[in-house]
Amino acid sequence: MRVENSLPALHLAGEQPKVGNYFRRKSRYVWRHSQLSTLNFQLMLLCLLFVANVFAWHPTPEIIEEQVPKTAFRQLADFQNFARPEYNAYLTAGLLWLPLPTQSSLETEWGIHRGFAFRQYMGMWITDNFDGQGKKRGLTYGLGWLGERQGWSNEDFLFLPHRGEFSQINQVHTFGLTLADSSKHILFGGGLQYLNAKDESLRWWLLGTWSKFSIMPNFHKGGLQFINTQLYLQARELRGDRSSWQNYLPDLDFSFYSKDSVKIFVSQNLYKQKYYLETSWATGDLAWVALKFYPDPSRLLMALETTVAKSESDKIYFGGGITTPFLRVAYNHASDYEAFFKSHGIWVVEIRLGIGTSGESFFALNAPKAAPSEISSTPVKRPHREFQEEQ
Amino acid sequence: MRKVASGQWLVASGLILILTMGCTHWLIDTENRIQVENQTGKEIYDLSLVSDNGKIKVLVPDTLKGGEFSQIYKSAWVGKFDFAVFSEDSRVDLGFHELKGGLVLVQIRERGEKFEMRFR
Repeated sequence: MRVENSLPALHLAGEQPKVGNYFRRKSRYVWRHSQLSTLNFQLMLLCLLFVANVFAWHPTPEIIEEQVPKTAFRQLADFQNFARPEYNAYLTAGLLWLPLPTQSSLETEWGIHRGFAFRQYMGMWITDNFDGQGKKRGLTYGLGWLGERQGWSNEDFLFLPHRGEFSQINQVHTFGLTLADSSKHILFGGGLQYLNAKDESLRWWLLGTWSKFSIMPNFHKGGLQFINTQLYLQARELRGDRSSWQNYLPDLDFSFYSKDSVKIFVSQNLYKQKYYLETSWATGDLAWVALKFYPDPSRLLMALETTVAKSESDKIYFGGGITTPFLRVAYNHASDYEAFFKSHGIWVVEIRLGIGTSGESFFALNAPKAAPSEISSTPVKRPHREFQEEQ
Repeated sequence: MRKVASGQWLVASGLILILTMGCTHWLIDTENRIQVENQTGKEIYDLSLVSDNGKIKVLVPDTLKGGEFSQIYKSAWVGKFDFAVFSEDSRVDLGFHELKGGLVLVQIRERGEKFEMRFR
């Protein structure tokens, strides 16, 4: 009580508050409080850095080399998913961010090298009816490209890599042309794929899609590399299906590499096309199960995922992540283990984008429904009240 | 307490994220400049790294008498490695050490029969 009473007296004992000083005093108050909050923010960042520092995994040159054909497969599977007869365009980009050189140190026979593993990708597919405003019948032509730069470098970078003594930078590019008839739900495509790894190789691929069935063989010279077949039985409003009990049919994906090497992917709608159970299994390779929640069935606004992955050496990793339109944060996520040099035990922050158009609506990859399109249904400009009164 | 809109936080953290992306190498040295000081009584030469397979990579190719300093050598080996030095035509292992980047003074001294190395 006494202390509180004496406070104003203390204040008066100092400099006398003047009228002209009011704004400066106020700004000082604001400054002091904002300083507090920036301190909090810095503490948060420090904690994040500490956490990022504690957990680390070491990619090896072999893992980086083995990643290239996996990425090539993933690009083709993505192409198969976004180049659909009912769709008009797709745009994707992404950039993984690891702030510290201790998070992804390279492990070689010499020891552990400080540096940065990275993954940057970009891609688009555009048809001659890319805004969905044009023809409803007849053939639409499409042009697609997916590119990814991945590897390890001793310095981090955005555009130009340092290419130091131990840098290992690989690129995978997929180019393709498509021809579709959306009224008949048919699409044909073909293209080239360039892998710049230890053995540079130019592959070529074909694509045939009819309604819920799709097949995509991939070749190197005359030899067949693999066949990817999709049986996406789930009814998708986005692709012109009617919403019914068929919403609960599964999506199946079989990839045949050779006689005794198969990869299977299953996605099952659990409830209202918002909750999904997904699993992937490959002979002698990674297997994972995921429970995914999309608050909006367009999958465009947010995705919450928990995953359990079992590695080739029977180690089990529990993980999860949040995906928002421009940012993805994940820890131990199975897809990162698959696409980012078997990374585990680190936080992955990804700046990303992935959006497609189908007619006038937007969607994310593999989504069953289009995003709610309030933009087109509400009038943008309302007449002024004064203007109304005049009339 | 002043109210801070969450949008401001988002924009601020996004800006920090983008501005610091790919800039860590400006703050952390990605190369070493190594100098060796011989504090042993013997003549030593070729401070090296040893691989798992027994391969040798010489970092400081100087021959030093007792008490001498080597020249400064630049290298891109930043990380944790196995070190060794040569004396009287035989390899003496110095153990697993971390090179943190920047200017490094390596002091090698005798501890009984063995050699010991430390950073200064």
